[in-house]
Amino acid sequence: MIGAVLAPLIIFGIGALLITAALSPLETLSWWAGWTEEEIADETPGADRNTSERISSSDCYVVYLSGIASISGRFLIPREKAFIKSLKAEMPGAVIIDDVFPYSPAGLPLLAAPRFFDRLWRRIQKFKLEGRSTMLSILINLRNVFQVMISADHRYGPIYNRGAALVIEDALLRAGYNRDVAAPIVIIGYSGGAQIALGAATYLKAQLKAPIDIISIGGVMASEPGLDFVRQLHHLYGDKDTIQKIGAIMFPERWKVMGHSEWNTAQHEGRIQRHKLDQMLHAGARGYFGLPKVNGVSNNQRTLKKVVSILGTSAGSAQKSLQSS
Amino acid sequence: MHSLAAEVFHFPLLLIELATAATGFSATAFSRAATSPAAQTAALIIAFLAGISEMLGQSVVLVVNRVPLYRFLASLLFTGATYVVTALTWAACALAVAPLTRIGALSPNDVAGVIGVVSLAFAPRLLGVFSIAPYFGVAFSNLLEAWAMTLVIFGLMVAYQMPISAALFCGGAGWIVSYALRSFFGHTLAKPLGDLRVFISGSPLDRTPQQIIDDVMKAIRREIKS
Repeated sequence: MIGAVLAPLIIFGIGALLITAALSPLETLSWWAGWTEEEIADETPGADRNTSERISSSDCYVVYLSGIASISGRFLIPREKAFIKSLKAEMPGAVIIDDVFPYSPAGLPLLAAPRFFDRLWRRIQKFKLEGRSTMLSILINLRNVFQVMISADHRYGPIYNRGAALVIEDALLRAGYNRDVAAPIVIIGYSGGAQIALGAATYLKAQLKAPIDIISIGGVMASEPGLDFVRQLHHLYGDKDTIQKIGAIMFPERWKVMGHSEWNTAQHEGRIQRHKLDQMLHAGARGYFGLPKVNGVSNNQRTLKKVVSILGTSAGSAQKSLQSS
Repeated sequence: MHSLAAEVFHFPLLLIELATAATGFSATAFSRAATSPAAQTAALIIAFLAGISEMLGQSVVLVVNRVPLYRFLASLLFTGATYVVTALTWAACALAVAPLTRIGALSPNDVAGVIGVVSLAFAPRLLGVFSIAPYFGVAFSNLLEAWAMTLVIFGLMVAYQMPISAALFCGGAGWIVSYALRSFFGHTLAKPLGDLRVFISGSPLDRTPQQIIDDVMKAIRREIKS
């Protein structure tokens, strides 16, 4: 009896998953082909790429890319908001950008009007803001997981990552980034955001010629060509986080037997540093941004402390490289 | 009215029924493809649709070359036709090498039947559209190819009561011969085939996403320098 109900459900589930997977690259492909309303050259409003009106004199620019639960660059979950707020307080000299939506090649938030399912995403967002956790929220995660896989795919990755780099570059220019100074850029990628950061690194490096460091917080990453253009990849991982381990398993080029992959080359060259965080899960109250305190310290604070110490080191070495140039 | 609806839906239903049964290694489906003219026509259409589906799955090549929509659709039809030609060649090869097995299971009279069996074996490739899925899509496409090859051998075995070794020989011959043709005549045929492809798609389709991105990057660097 149970089997008779379960079997169609499983078949329906697999079918729905396959269809969702098949539809997932369409946004990237149609964006690249110019089939959508906006052409490649002006896909993001905002910064003029040649202007230097709002140039600031910061020594370090930090871009935060949220995890796969993200629906828009403007809406971070409260735990992430608290983290960013504390980070800004700890790093007053750095420019911290937290409004980039990394799960669209054009940076188009899920709530934006031209989207086919924008009403569905709005409804889910409403539930989330009301604190009602629904099964529908899984749809956002699923949708964004496929975008992470697109970024890691050898066929779509170059297109998608080029778009992501443009979106990050525009955010940097809006924040007053000066091309001539080429101040160091640190991208903090949480979960799937780390993969997008790695993918975009190639193009950011070519366009801005600045040193790029990446801090992965529980990042699910493939062996990306972008690793060749990253000065340091700091991978923060919780010892209770099983999600971040998925990347190491599901992307074969990260396996040790693939000795000449970008990942293993970077590892041999000491450009990947791992930082273990005790008793941390991937998400939730016991995740990297968890707010409940244990022995007087929250996970959020512990992650922040680690990120700030890495940023301090990065800023120090960046200052040296700027002075020497 | 009822009979008109039955007439209209009969053939599509036959297509679905045959394709579903074939992917599940149904001996009955392959026997029908070997004997029934209606099933043979349906099998050829399945091969055509499989080509369209596969091309949709690999549409990234068309899209990165920024092919206009109408040419994109023309390319789909062209690939569908290519699949039918592949099925015909494969069947011809299987028939041609059959006497070498000394079993004599396949005779020239079986031309239509063998074409039906080989075409029907393309049924799993109807799912080829899913090779568009990110990251695992390529592996999925390879899986479908292996599945289709296995079905050719299975189809020849059950439809013509061939021993597995003979079916393997005849079925495998089609693939090997098409591979050999591609290798030996590739250079000779490359030019006219390329011209035909350009005519249909309006683009040489010879650039990978990475090459296109590299060109974009060069242009950006030039722009920055100037």
